[in-house]
Amino acid sequence: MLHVASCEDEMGKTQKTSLKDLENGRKARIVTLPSGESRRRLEALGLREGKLVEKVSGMPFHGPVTIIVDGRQIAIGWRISSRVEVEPLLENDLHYDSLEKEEP
Amino acid sequence: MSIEKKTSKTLLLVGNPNVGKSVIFTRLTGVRALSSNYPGTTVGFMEGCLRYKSEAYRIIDVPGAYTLDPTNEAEQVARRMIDEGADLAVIVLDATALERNLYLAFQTMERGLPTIIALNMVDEARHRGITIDVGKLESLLGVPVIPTVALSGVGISKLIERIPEARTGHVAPLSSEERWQKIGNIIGQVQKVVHRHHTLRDTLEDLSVHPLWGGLIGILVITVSFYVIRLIGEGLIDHVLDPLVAKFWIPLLIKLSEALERCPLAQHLLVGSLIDGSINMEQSFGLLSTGLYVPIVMVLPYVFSFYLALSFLEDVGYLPRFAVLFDALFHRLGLHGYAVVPALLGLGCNVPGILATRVLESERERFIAATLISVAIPCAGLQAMIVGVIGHLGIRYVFITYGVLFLAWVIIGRILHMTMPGYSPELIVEIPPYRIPSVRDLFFKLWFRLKGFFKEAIPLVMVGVLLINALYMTGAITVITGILKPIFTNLLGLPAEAAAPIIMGLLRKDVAVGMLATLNLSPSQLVVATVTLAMTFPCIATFIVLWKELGGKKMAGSLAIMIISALTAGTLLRIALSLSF
Repeated sequence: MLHVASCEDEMGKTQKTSLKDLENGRKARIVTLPSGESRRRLEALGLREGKLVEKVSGMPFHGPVTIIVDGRQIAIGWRISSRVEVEPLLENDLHYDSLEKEEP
Repeated sequence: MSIEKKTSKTLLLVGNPNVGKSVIFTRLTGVRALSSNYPGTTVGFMEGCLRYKSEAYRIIDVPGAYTLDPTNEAEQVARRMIDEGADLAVIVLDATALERNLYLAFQTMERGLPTIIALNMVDEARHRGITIDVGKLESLLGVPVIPTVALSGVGISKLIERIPEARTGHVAPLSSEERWQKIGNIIGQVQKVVHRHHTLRDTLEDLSVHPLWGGLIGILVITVSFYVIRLIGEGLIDHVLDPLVAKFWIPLLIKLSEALERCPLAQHLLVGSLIDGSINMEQSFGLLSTGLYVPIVMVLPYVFSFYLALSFLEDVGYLPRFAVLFDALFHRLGLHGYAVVPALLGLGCNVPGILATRVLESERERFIAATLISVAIPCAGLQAMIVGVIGHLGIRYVFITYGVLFLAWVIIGRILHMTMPGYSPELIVEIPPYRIPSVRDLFFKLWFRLKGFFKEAIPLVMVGVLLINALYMTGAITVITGILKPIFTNLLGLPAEAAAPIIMGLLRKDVAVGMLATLNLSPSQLVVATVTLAMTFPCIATFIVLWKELGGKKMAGSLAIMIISALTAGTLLRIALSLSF
């Protein structure tokens, strides 16, 4: 398994953020999922810590956030999406263009 | 249909939602299938039969599940069915999302069931730049893996041929962590993904959930759907059913009427009263005239075209996108976006709409959703009559009627959300890729939905027509109108005779609107009466299903909300209309 350089290289630090605040079209790695029931529902759809996701869009008026995980779109309610912590990937990250996921 | 249990082997069809499992099911069983509820639950499943060589298999379509650590009722049922055991399992995997799909496959195989795997949608995976080494997957899992494309039937006969080879795989019970690790390991060995550029479909999928473009696409989908529903519904009525009735049925009724001249009671019940000296299919109110005409000619075409459009949107994969678009609105009514699915079904008939509220997580949500459907979502029958009866007055009045119902839906939902304890759960939903639907599957589903309408609507209309005749013949109608008169005249500005249609509304609302049309009401009165009728007591079928789903106490609460809001809306609308026209 590959070891991925954490994103604190010469490009500067990437700020951890939430799925809700991630820019559209941006890729990121999941750092933490919320706990409890919503975690189980997210896990069932293939979201786990360490997974790569791409944000597609966020709907206005606290509408849901749509992301792509393993090539599949998933919509997540606004409140939960604000509790999913992610680390945005840098453009030069070696995984940026790849659909491969990385096991934690 | 009997499916013998002793001599046949039981085969469970297992898979995630949206993997083409139901298409494989119809491919294996043909159209002869039985739909039933899992005992003690509200989850439905399909059961069918497959004969291959000398063996007979009872095939059970297990509800779609992502995991056997259940996160909803369907998954609970899936787990119980798998735990009960069977002779073998066919696990359907989506080749475009193999990793996530393998999780359920492992959980199933860990329970020791002999297994065979259908690796479905391999064509789509290829298009997406995903290649899977089937031979390697087979040896790693230790069970047969057959690539299939259920939609076109590729691989299905191979799958059937290899069913006897089903065996327990190379798996021991694992923890969730270990399972994902093992799956990751397998994926690394069997799957290669080539990066590929955005296709047109990807772009369309992204745009569908875009705040602006998604909204526009949504409006386009709704507009086109309504247009198509009307085109097909009206076309069937004007060019097929009405001419048939005029050519064959009415002459027959006239002969019958003449033959029964010496038996006026039978003539009245079967053919009905003559309007201006001839039989009027909408207003004569005989069992064989209005009793058949309303459900079959006026309503069925719209029910058919509505469910055709809805099943199409469902199979294309558009409905979850609706959920995304409407989530913010539904959230303010204490629901989440997925409640759009029961609401849409309710536009066909409230009964399946209310049944579909089972997909919602909490009791609070189910109460709000079911109440909103029965108060403010007009079914296809009611809508056909609203358009037919009010449409004559001008399109403006149709808009007013729909507008008031929509406002009532929002306001009642808002009030319920603000006053009921609890919170609205969050949307978490997979949005499947757009797919070209299988025509076979589409009509299979449509047939199931229409069968429900036939079984229920036609007998009820008959009972309703009989009841109305009985009310008039016994004079009971005068007593009832006397009691309801103050409400009708003072609050709603309607003549007391409008009580009869409202009572009829208990059985079928579409017939009731037809009765309103015979009362010579002014346009404003007709609109007020229709809105009140639409919102008040549900029809008997909806009433029963509300009772079953919510229980007596909550159903009573729901009814109280309906009556209060119907009278309030009717009164306010009357005032508003008298001020503006």
